[in-house]
Amino acid sequence: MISFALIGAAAVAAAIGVVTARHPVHSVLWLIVHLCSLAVLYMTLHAPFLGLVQVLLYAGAVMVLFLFVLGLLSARTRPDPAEPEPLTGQLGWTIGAGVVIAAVLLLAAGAGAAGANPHALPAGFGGVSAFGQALFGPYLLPFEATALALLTAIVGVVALSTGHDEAMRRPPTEPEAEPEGPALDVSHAAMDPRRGVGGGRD
Amino acid sequence: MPHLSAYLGLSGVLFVIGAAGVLLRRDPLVMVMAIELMWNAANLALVAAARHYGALGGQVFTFVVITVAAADVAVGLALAVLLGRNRGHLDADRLKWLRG
Amino acid sequence: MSGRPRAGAQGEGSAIAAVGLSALLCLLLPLAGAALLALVRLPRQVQGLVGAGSVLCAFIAAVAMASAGPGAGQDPFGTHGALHGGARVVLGVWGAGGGLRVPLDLWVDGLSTVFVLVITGVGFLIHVYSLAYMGGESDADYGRYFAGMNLFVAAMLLLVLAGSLPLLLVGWAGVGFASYLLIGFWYQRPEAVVAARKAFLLNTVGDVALLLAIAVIWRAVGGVGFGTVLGSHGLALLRGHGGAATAAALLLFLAAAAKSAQLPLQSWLSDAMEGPTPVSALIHAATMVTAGVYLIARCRGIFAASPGAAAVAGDLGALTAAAAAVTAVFAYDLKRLLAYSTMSQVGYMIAGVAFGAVAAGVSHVVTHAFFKALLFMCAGLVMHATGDERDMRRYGGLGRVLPLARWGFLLGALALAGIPPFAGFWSKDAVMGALLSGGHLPAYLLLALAALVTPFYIFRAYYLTFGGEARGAAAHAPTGASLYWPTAVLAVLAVVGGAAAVGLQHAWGVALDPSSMAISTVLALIGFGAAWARYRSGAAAADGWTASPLGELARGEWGWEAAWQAVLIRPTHALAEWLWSGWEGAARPALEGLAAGAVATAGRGLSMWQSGLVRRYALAMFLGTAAVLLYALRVR
Repeated sequence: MISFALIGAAAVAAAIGVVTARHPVHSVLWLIVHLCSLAVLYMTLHAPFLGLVQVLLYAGAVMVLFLFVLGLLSARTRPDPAEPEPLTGQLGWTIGAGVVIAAVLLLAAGAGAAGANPHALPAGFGGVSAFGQALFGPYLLPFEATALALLTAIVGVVALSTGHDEAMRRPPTEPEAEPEGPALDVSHAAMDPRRGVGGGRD
Repeated sequence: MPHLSAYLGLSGVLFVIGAAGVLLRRDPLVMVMAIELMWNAANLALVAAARHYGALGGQVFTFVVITVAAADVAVGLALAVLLGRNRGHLDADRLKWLRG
Repeated sequence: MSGRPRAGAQGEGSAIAAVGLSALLCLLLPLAGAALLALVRLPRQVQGLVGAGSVLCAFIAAVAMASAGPGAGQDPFGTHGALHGGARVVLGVWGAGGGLRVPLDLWVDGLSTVFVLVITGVGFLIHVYSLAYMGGESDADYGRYFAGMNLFVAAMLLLVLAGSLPLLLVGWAGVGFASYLLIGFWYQRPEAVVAARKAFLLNTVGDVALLLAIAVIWRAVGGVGFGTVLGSHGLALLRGHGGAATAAALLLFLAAAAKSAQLPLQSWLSDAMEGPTPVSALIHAATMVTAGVYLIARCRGIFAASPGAAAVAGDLGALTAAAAAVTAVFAYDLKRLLAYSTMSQVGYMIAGVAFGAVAAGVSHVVTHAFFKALLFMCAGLVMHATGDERDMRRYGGLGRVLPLARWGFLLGALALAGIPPFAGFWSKDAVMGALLSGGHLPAYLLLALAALVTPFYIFRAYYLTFGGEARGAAAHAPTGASLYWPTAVLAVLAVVGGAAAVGLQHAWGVALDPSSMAISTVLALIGFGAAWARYRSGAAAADGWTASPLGELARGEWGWEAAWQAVLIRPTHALAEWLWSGWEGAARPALEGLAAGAVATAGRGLSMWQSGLVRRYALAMFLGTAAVLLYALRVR
C-alpha cells in the first residue's frame, strides 16, 4: 500500500513534469521517470514481462528516438511554454473539462469496483512463459494485426521522409494563416532569397 | 495490495494530465510525449484489471498498445522532423492548414 | 326519389346513355373550345369559328339532351319540393376523406334542361354578336376573349348540370372566375380592373357561403349528392333538423345573392359594366346572375323546409326588385340602367323561386334571357355607333341611324315593361300572381312598385336614346352582319317567347291568375303612359328633374358604397396600414434583425472552432469526452 502511494505519487509528479518542463529534453527525462515508475507498478501487479517490455522498449528505445529527434531539431525555433497561452479560453476550458473528467473517472473507479475482491491468480501469471502462451495462442490474430500496424507505420515514415513533401514546403516567413497576397505568387516566392534558408537544409 | 479502484483512479488522473499536456503545449514533440502519457494511463488500467480479474487478456492488450504507441511515436516524430525541416519552426499554433 | 338513376326495365338504359352522352358533350365542347383558344395561337377566323362553333355544338347537344331525356316540360319537383324524375348520369365518385363521398354525377331534369337550353342558345347568339363586336381587338385579345366566353359558358353548364353540391360549387366558382376574366378584359383600364376585382371578391363571399351551406347540409343529411340531399328522404331529415334547414337555406340565399347581385351583395353588377357589352349580355341574360335563381330553384326543398328563410330570401329579392327599379329611373349611363334593370328582374325571379313559384321564376329566367340579351345587344350597337359613349344625355335621335337597334330596343322594352302580349308579361305576371295567391303581400307590393316603375325607366331610356334630336355623340351605323341577325332573332323571341314561358308553366302545373294579370297590365300601362307623357319628345330638357339631389343619391346607389366603405373597407385599409407600418415597418425588421443576428453570432461562434488549430480540435474532443462522461454519470 505504501509502495503504491509512493510510486503512484512519483508517476503523477513525473507526468506533471513532462507537461510543464520548459525544455523538451527535460520532458523526455521526466517521461522516462514516469515510464519506469509505471514499470514498477506493473511488477507489483503480477506483470513482470510487461514491466520489462516497458523499460526496454518504452523507456529505452522510444525515448532514445525522442532524444535523437530533439538533437536533430534542436536549432529550430520552438515556442516558449512560459509565454501566456495564445488561444483565448484554452487554458480555462482545459482545466474545467479536465477537472470534470478526472472527477467522473475517480467517482466511477470508486463506485464500480468497490467491494469485489481480486481473483486468485494461477502460478506464473504474467511471466514470460504464460504471456507467450497467451500471445501466440488465443491472441495470435491481434498480435499479427499489430505487426501489420507496425509495417504500415514504417511505410508511412519512409514515405514522409523521402520526398513528396512539396506540399509542406513553403517559405518559412510566409504567414500560413493568410494565404492571400503576393507571397502566394509562385514566381515571387521562388525569387525570395529567404526561401533557400528554410528549404535547403535537407 | 491496493484495490483495483485505486489503480483506476491513478490511471484517470494520469490520463487527464496527459490530455492537458496535449491541449496546452504548442511544441509537437511535447504533444507527442503527452499522448504517450495518455497511452500509459490506459495501460495502467488494463494491467490492474488483468490482475484483479486474473485474466491475461489485459496484459496482452497492453502489449499491443505499447507496440501501436511505438508506431505512433515513429510517425509523430517523422512529422515533427518534416515540420521543423521545411517550416523552420516547431509551433502547432502556426499550422492552420486544417482550416481549409 | 331515390339516389338511383331513373333507368327502368323498359329499355330506358339506352335513353339514359343518350342523355348522358349529350349532356357530357354539351359540357365538354365549350370547355375544349376554351382550352384550345387559351393554349393555341389560332388564326383570327378560326378563333371565331371555335368560339362560336363550340357553343353552337353545345346547343345542338342540349337539344339532343332535351329530346332524349326528361325534357324541359318535365316538372322536376314532387311533394315538399323533393327532386323527382331526374336522370342521373354517373361519372364517378370522389372520396374526399372523412367519410365524405362526392358523387361526380350530372343531373338532367326539366330544370337543368331549361337552363342548358337558355345558356347555350342565348349564349350562342351572344358569341355570334361578339364576332363582329370585338372585331377591333388584336388577334391575341380576340382569342383571349373567346376563351373567356367559352369558359364562362362551360362553367355555367357545369353549374346547372352538376348532380351534387360540391360539383355545383366547382361550376359556381368557375363562373366567378370567368366573369373576373371577362369584366377585366380591358385590363389596361383601371376601372375595369377594379370592377373585376370587386365582382370576384363579392362572388367569393357567395362561394364561401355555398361551401358552408354544403357543410351544414352534409352534417345534417350525411351526403352531398342531389339524390341524397334533395330527395324526399334527405329533405325529411332536414325538416327534422329545423335549425340546419334554416342555416342551409340562409347560406344558400347568401350565395345566390352574391351571384345574382341581390341585396345585400348587389353592388358588383353595376360596376361590371366595365367589361365589353357582349360580356354584360352574357352575364345578365344567359349565365351568372341566373345561377342564384337556379340554386334556389334546385334547392327548392330546403327552402320549403324552412319557411322563415324562404321568406327572408323572397322579401329581399322583392326589395331588390323595387330598389333597383327605382335606381334605374335616375341613371344616366345606359349600361348601368340595364344593370339595375337586371337586378330588378332577377329580384322577381328570386322572389318567385324562394316563395315556391319555381315554374314562374324559371320561366322569367327564360324570357328575361331573351329580352335582356336583346337590350344589351342594342345598347352595344348604340355604343359602337357613338364611339363607346354611355351617357344617355349625349345620345338622341339615334333611331334614324340605327333603325334595327331602335326597333329591337323597343321590342325588348315592351317585353321588359310587362306589356301584353310581349314575352316578359307572361313570366313576370306569373311570379306576381303566385305571390298574390300565396298571400305574400309585402313582397307582392314591392314587386308591384317595380312593375309600375319598370316601364317608366326603360321607355325613358328608349326615348332619350332613339328619340329627339342628336345631342353631341356623332353616330354612324356599325357594319357586320353578325351584329344584326342575332339581334333580330332575339327580337323575335322577345315577342313570342311568352309562349315558351306559358308552356313551361303549364307543363310544371302552374296557372296564370287573371286578376293579377289585370292589375299588372294596368300598372305597366300607367308606367308606360307616364314615360310617354314626359319623354316622348326625346328632348334632354324633359329629363331635367333627375338632376335633383334625390337623383344624385340614386346614382350614388343610395350611399350603399359609402356605407360599405365606412363599415368594412376603410377599417380593413386601416388595419392593413397598421400592419404595414407596425409589422412590416417596425416589428418584422426587428425580428429579422434579431434572427439574422442570432444566426450570425452562432456562425461566428462556430467558425471560431473551425480554426485549423489542432489544439482547438483536441480541446473539442476533450470537451466532448467530458460531456459524454457527464451524460453517462447522469444515466447511472
